[in-house]
Amino acid sequence: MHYLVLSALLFSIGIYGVLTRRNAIAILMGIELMLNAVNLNFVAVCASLTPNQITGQIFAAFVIVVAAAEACIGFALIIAIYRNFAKVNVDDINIMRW
Amino acid sequence: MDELTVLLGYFASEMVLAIGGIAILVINFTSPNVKGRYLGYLAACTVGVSAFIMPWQGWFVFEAQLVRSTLRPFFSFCLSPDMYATYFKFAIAIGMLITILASLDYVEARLNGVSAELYALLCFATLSMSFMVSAVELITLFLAIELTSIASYALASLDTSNPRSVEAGIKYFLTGAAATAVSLYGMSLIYAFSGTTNLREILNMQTEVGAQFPHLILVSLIMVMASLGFKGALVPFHAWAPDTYEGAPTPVTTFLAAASKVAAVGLIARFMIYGFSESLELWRPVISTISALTMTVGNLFAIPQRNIKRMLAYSSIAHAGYMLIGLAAVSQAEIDFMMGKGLLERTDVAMTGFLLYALGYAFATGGAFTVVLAVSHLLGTEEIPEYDGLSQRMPHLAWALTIFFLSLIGIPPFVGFFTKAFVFAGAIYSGLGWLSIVGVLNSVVSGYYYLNVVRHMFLLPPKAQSVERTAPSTDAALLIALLGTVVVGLLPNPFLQWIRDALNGVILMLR
Repeated sequence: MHYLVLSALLFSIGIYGVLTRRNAIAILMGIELMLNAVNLNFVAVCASLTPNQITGQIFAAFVIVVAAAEACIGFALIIAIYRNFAKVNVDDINIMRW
Repeated sequence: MDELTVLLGYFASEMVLAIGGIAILVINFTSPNVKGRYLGYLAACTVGVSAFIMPWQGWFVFEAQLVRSTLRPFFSFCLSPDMYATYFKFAIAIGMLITILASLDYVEARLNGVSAELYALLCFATLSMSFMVSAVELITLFLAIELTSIASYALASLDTSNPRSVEAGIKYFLTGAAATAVSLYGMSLIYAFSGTTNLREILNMQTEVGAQFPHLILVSLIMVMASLGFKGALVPFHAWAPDTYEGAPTPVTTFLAAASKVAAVGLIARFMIYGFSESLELWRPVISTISALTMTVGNLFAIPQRNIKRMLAYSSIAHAGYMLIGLAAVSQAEIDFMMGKGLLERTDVAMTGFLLYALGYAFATGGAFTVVLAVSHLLGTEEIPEYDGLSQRMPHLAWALTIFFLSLIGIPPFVGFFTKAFVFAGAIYSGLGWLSIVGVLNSVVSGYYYLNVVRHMFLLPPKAQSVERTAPSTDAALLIALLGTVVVGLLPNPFLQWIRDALNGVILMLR
């Protein structure tokens, strides 16, 4: 139960970061926090609810792998942004408006 | 039939797509002098073959089920290659085929340096969308969504020297990654209350859990909807769509509109019905609200647009809303039918309309974007005022675009009329009359901005006199889209029969 509370807190901090930060790298860090909260949830539930199955842990492993892949493409994008705009602040990246 | 034949038969089209995508990368790597155009032909062949074998693959699975009535666990019941999945895979592959054929010239002129990556990623995206619509397990579902998303992020920002494309990519990426994290948290809640990730077992747990904590189910469903709705660009998860559609290279926009959205709605319907039909009354209001909002916002924001890609972006948001009417109006009899019990009555048309809508939408939107791609390649513009007098300069493009727009408005005899009629009728039969009224009003509103483009093309004088010829590949894409729009509208019966089998086949897999 404590783990679920911890992960809910971690998730909220992550969402807060995503919503308030304007630096693309900081937003990515917030997303990583959210993903780690999810991992914690999966592993904790798996260990307490179904101790003889490892589905939750497998899910957590997949989340870690996909988070790594996502971070790769995210940083590649941020580098491309930096080359084009010379900044990584998402408020300034706004050519398209209607 | 031995194990290998069955496996090949179940996953033939996926194997074709994987091999095609890898072949494009290998060819580009070993002989860099091969023209991007030939890689495009290879991609078109790959996707075309996989679209062509899809109906047969569906029947193969269906027959194999009837003969053996139980299924050995393929990939531990993670993927269900049933007829529902093959129907959606067919729609996706057709959308991709139109996309690739339409973009050959455009890519050669503007994206020549990255054509191998573009075509390979399109093949892999088709593959992962096939997994999306066959996923019956939370891990597979998550992986399929992520595979599609990562391919789409890379595709949207493929033109790295163009700031608009990169901006489209980063907006798409940041919203997408956040939506994925939220929906993963929802999945972890589902796992917490059910102790399993298999949708079928989650369904069995539901009556028990629902009695104790109905709000937990609702909250986790809404959280999971974040990433599903993000992929389908449903309001309120649509904020990325207009900018990404406008900024991304036009072939990528076509892919996002014609294929990615179809996969997303197919996934949403399967997730809701397959895993959560016991909580139908819990999520029906959520889906109907999302549907009404999506239609209204999409159509209202489409009206003032001057960029045709941006207008079509809002129009495609609106169409996802119409499709969701079919899901919101699903009746208990239809769910029973999909679970392999009972038969469909004459009034159970909501899901039929939903499936037919997905196919008709893929044809009409793919076709509309084909015209946009051709005009953008030949005239170098995407602004609606530049379409003035197109009927005199390139009459076949103007007429084709008119037909696609009439189908999207929902005017007979094109397919869009029947699909809208089915979902609206389904909504009325299920007691969601207000939703079909919202839908009809929205269709009227949508007529304004579609016909505005037609007015520009036919009634206003051309700004230049030059007459350009379209490439044969563009004509082929137009022909496929036109055939789909007109033939499915005039002769819907074989397709309706196919949809019936597809619905019946959904749960056959795990009985």
